Amino acid sequence: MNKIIKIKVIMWKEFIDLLRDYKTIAATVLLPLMILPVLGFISFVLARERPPIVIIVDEDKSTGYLGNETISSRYIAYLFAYFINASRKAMSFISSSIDEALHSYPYFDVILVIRKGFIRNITSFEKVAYILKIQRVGSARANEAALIVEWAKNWVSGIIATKKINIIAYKANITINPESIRSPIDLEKVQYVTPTGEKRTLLDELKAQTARLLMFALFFIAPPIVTFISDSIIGERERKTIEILLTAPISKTELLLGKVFATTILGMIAAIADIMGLLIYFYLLYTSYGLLPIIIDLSLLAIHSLMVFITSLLTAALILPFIVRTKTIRSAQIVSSAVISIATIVFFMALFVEIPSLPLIIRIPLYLIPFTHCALVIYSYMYDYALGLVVHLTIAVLSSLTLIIIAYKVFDEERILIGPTT
Amino acid sequence: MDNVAVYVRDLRKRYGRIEALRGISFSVKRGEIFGIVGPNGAGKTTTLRIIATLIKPTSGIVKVFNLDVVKHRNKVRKLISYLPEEAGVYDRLTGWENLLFFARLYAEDYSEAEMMANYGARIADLGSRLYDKAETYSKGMKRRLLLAKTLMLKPKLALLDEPTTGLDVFAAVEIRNLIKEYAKEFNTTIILSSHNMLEVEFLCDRVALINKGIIIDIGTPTDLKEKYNVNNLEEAFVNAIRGVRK
Repeated sequence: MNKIIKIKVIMWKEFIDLLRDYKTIAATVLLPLMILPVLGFISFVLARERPPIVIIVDEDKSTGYLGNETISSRYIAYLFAYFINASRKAMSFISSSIDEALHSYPYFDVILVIRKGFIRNITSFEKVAYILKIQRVGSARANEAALIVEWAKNWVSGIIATKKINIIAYKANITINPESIRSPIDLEKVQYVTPTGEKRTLLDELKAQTARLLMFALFFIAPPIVTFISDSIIGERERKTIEILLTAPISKTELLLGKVFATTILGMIAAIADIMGLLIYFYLLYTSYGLLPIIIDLSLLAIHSLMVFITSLLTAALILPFIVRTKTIRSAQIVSSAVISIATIVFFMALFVEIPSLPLIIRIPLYLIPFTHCALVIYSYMYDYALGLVVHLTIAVLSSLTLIIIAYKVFDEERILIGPTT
Repeated sequence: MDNVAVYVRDLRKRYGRIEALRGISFSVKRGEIFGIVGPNGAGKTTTLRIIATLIKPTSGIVKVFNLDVVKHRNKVRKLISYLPEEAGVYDRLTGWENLLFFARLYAEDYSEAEMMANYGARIADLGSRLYDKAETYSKGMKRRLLLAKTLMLKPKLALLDEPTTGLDVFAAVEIRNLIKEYAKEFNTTIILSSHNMLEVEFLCDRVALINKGIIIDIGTPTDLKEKYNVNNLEEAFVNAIRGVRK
């Protein structure tokens, strides 16, 4: 019987064992599939049920004139309230005093105070009118509220500025487009390019964001793989099945490869569950916050599936040399935690940082971590870097194979059979 | 040497400071049931594990059907089948799947594996429970399944480490009968270790008495009883250790 058939037999046994290990399957599939959407749902409910609260307090309570037009502090307060509510991302209320605001809305996020003298200043052509911004300590939505307040302030300022420009133009008897003074410089429509200057579309930008998300999703593969491969070797010893298996006419290579490949099936299951969970999570975020949608195309999914396989293989290969040498479950757990931590760091970094843009001194140690190359395969695909894709893919595969060979070399049957288990 | 199934000469095994085997020698004829008897820590399991190619000897020669167990490990593995003392089964697999898994590792193709597993199913004699998950089996059922796995392969040499350990009287008797009938039917060479002198007397053609890594005596149960002038093998063993002779 050839080697491949024996590897398949080991995989067959591991696969049945895995499918009937309901707790592992539940932890691998149901947890991300439930937790991520629940997180998204919580965010959605929070956004809808408890948006940031901005209170506008009119302390000035006065009226002034801008040209022939009457401007009151109440009018300014209403303008702020109108724009904040129009954003649909925050709620605003008008209050007559700070004390009343604190009493009525103890869980406010920001209070805007139109102080005495505001109308005098805003109607002058020499002074700037200030609004006091009060932020509640410990508010979870204060930063969000501050952004919306800034956005509303720009609109209200714009309205007042337009009125002032029109007055000046009238007095000077000249024709002016208020926009040319209010905002003499503006940005044209965004053009998207790659780091090498190749033009791209908004769709490509969305795909790139999705790819970054998929790089992060590789993280979810590591924990179940590490648990499964550890159990697959040390568990056999604990359950006292390893002794019979080791006397069977199979080589160490067949045994190790059978177990590693079976593990990649779990990786695939984990990745599918995690992607589904992430998609639901981001859909909920999109519907609640209006964030950009994520774009999935078949080639991106294909490259991701390939990387799920490679990452599973790599994770199993990384831990294998330690697992086959370790005498105790405790030391196996320590190594498992270390591998999971490394995977977490790399894939979390891939979500927020462009690894190739980092200084060389940081990139070199990162390149020594095989997981980095898994993330960079997707990154290279994102920018159509064919060479980069091939190089990083080759490094990831070669690292896996090298580690499996090391595991084969250090795999000592006697050591596995004899020695403490706890 | 043609009639010799297992040849062991001056076998030594050291685990760090502990010397588990201190130069044991014996040979087992083809078709013979050979017992290794001794107290805990005597070196029985170590001897069987070395013959089963699981651990390497520190020094000495061990040959199975004229093949050195260190140099020709894979060839030896095809000839033997080993039942460890504390072996477990794959609990999440059914009894049938357990048998089929091992059969597929030994067989040339799937149909041969199925035939092997079917034969194992007959030996295990678990009825419809064969298709239940092994985690639902009693200890006796698991041991039967493991013995069936060991024997279904029709090995030239079967190594049975305490085959009836932990079983109740009825299950132990069943398994002993099974081993006896199987050896007779297939003329298989069997080496078994046991604490149970009754079992050894019932099953074995010859017995090696081992203590603290040294073989004290070898002979047929009848010869040993006669030699030490006792009524049973248990007393023969005690007298052998004390150095009392007829």
